[in-house]
Amino acid sequence: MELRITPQVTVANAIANAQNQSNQLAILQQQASTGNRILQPSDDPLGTLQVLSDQAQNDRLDIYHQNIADAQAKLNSSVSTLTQVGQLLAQAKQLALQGSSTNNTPGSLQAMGDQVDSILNGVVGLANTQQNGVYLYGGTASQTAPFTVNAQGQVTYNGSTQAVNEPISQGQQVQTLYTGSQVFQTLQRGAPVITGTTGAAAGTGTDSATGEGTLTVAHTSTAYAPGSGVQPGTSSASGDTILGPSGAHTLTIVDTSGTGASGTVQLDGGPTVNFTNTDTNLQIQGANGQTVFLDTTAIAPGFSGSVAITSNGTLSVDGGATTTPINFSGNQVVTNSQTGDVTNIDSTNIRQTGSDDINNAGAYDVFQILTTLRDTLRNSQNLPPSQQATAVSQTLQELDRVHTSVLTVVGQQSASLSNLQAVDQHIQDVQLQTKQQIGNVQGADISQVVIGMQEQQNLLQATLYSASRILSLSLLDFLK
Amino acid sequence: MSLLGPGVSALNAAQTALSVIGENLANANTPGYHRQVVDLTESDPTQIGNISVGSGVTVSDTRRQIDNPLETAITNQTYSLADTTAQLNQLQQVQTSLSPSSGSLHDDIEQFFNQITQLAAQPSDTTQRAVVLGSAQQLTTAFNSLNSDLTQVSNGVDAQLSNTVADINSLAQRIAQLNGQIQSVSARGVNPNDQLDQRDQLINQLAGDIGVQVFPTDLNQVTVLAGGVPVVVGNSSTALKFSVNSSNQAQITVSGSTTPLTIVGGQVGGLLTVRNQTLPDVQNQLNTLAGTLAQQVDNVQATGLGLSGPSTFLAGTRGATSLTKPLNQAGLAFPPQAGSLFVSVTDLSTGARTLTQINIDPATQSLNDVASALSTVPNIQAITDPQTGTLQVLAKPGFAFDFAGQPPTAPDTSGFTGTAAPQIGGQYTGTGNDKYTFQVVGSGTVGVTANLTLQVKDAGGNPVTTLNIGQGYSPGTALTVANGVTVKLASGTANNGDTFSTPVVAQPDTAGILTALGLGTFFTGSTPPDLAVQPALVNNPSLLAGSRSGDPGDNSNLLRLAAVHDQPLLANGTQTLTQGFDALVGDVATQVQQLQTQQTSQQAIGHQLQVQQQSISGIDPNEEMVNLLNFQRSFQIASQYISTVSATLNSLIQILPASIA
Repeated sequence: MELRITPQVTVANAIANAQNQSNQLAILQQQASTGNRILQPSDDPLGTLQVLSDQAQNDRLDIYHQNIADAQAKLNSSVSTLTQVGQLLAQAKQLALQGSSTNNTPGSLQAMGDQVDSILNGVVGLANTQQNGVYLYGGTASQTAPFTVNAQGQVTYNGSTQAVNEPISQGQQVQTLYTGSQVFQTLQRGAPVITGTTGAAAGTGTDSATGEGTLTVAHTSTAYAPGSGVQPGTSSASGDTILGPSGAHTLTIVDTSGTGASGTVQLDGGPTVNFTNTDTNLQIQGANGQTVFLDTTAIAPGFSGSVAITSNGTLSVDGGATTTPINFSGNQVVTNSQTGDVTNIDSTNIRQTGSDDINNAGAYDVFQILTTLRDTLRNSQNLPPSQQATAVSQTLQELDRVHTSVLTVVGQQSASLSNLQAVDQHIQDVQLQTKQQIGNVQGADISQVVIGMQEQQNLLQATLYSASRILSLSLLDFLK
Repeated sequence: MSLLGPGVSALNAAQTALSVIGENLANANTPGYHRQVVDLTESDPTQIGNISVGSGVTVSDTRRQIDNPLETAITNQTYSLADTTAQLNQLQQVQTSLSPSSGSLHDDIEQFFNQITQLAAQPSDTTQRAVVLGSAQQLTTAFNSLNSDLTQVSNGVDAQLSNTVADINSLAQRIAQLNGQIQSVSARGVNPNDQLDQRDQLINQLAGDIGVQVFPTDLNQVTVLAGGVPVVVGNSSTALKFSVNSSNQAQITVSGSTTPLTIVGGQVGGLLTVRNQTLPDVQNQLNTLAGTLAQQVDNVQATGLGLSGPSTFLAGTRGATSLTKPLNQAGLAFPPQAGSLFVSVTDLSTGARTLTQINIDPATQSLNDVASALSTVPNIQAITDPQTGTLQVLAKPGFAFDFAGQPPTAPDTSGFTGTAAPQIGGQYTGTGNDKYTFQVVGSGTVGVTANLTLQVKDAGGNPVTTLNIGQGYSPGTALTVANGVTVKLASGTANNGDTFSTPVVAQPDTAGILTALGLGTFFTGSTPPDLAVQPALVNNPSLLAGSRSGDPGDNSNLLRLAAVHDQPLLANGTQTLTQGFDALVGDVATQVQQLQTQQTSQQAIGHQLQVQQQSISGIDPNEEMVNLLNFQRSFQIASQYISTVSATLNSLIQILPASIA
């Protein structure tokens, strides 16, 4: 059946079409003015979700970009700080090299010591470097100055043992705040070198002491094999310098009087000394200057022969504050009561009292080696010039080692920096990509929009024009 | 005189037809008007002898041009379109709230976690801490204002429903009145065309409000059903009533009844769908999102340490409804699970820290039980507040407590007979709670004796590692055990079989009791509209738990917080928080899109139906014009006929004597 078309239909059609076209035109106009194809999520739900997730990714990368900038600032500051530390250590090495020559006058050595002291202060200052209010070498304890110098000129570490990692991208972190021990206190413990006259040697155990130390070997008591009647003299406990198990030292007594009234006595084959039965504190020295004090009041009449000596003593690494009895039988652990550190001593061949120098090779931190160098140059131990020169030259190796370890950290941080740059570059690439993607999904194609607008405008005009023409047709026009 | 009859009848018919045409032309633009036509039939013929002579024309009826199935289709389409439009209007509001052109909740969630990530680069920066808390406040504000937006939409729907139901009742009343009039007119055998038009128009209006079914009954009356109940029967109508029931569901009932009607279509149908399904669904998803976010963030915050370290007093902010009922029946928004809580207590003078494990079982333990369990931990005390149902924990003077799960400063050395003091250090980075037991193999001196080792086993007795503590070990040096934990032994002796142990804790609160009770949490409240950032935190950003150690540079807890960003917490572990929100936006957008498509096609169908309806019932002035001319002509011809008959009769009369005439 043909449809009857009434003016209402024409009007309704015209209105519906004109509305539809105006609506399309308004949408296109909004797209043109905002530049966005998606004006409401319902315009393209899938596209909206994509844009949302892309934008979230973009925002997050912004933060990572900022974190990278922050990490770069810290690491750059650290690299330049440690480079300065490296330069100062190179200067210290130069001074040590100069100081190891025997041609220096005490005055010039003193001056070098002062220079090393200022280097030490400089290194401590640099080790306490802050970047934006955060200490670089204290680990997680970032608000406390990590290194302090005490009244004795010793440097102590107050930081944490935990380094700090910063997030620089999803699942990736970079170490920014190193701990002090990572940078300044790296240890590569070797066998300690004990120099001195006591006969003490490095033990088989593993030490925990660091830096320079002194082993004090003291005498406590002397005992003589029975038979001869010889007794320790009154100054024996404090004055004897011999140490050793029974037989390590011997006394040769010859009773020339045959009654024990007088005779000769000899220590370890040293010079012969006369005695009488009135001597209660007779000092006898051996060939190497070892000393015993004897009480010869009760020598067995007619005794002639050698007497085995047992001489006990103690070990101490804290200047005698705490002592460990010597057992002359191998490894002994000696504890420093101030630091809790231990030093292992092989006491088997200890024969004499004295102070030995312990050089914990490979176990110096930056501050310890500088302190040692300073004190050696200033000759605080009053060493003779040749020994002082040797001691100074000994510090060179340690200086080298700590210098290398500081430079290693510089290398690590430089590697981190170049990695950061790569990550940052990647982030920028990804951001550019996501921005493009957002543009592709969300953005309106302006030329398409403009053409579309023109098209809709034409259609709207056609609709209105045709409606006006059709509606103006009426039979009345033709009736007279 | 039967000659005049046909003429008169033709005149009458033409007059009636002309007046119908006039009516049609007058109502050409009246909504609901149907074109009327006159039905002309031949009058009954007169029998003259054996000839049947016609007696003219009769107007048998004036009929509405109407296609009833089409009208029904229009009615149905009207309520379908009204349903779609009502839903669309509301959902567009929801869509705008969920994703305004700037500052949507999506951005706020992202911003919050991004600021935390930034803080992880500078954990002690107080400005950045304040920024994090600012973004957290913005987040809670966004959740709460979104919630109030949705509530407003819901309230608006209620108001519309109430108005529409009033409109329905008045329409039903008028339809019933018209039914009455139609019945009385029809009973007289007359077609009440105008009333029928009016009534059909009202029924279509009613269909815009609510889905209706229309059944014709006798004498042109109709029965109108809406929501399955007859709202118009004959000349009586039944009023409907809008109400909101106790479970916050909007419902339409027959006045005086409480049984909700199942409404399909119309504005009411659409609004009810939005009010009872769409809006609660969106609101539930938002609440889940807010609750999950709060719970996860709270868990991390409660088990970390701020810059000022352990606390001496903490007051819970989430109360239980009962102090004595088991916790899982105590109305907690974030119900705890069976698990354990590790409590650290630090002696402030020595720095010594203990770690105590408390077991929590919400099926059997009440808040009071938890308080007594906590009070068994040395040097702290927990009390409950019967007014608010909250828990408060306080440390004895000189002590402080926290729930960061750091290993105790001294390991358990009850099985150690040697003199070498062990110490545990580092930060545990494992994912589960464990206990490391260290056993000495060989006897001798630490750092001296050869082949002196420490065998480490986990809680399950599985070997973790073996460490040399004999010759080659520098006493006091930290040895790496596993997962960031280190151990060191001082110089001294260690005997074969000696053991010491330490708990290592990744999740100090597996029970979730801290979050459940709001102890040291990030947020207060649980869901919008009462979700807020803990005021203590806002006032003092240093309380933000950035670490587990309390060190200012330690960002371990911030990294855990930032990790919540990427955890698939929603939709059965498939969506992150932001993805969850985006999915909600996508859902609503898809619904809007579907409704828009539906609306467009319904409008197109409606337009087509209107065109068809117009084609049958519409007025074409040209057509009426032609008919007008036609009947004008009929009238002229009939007049001419009468004049002719009259003239004919006149000549007869002139023949007749005047007395007869």
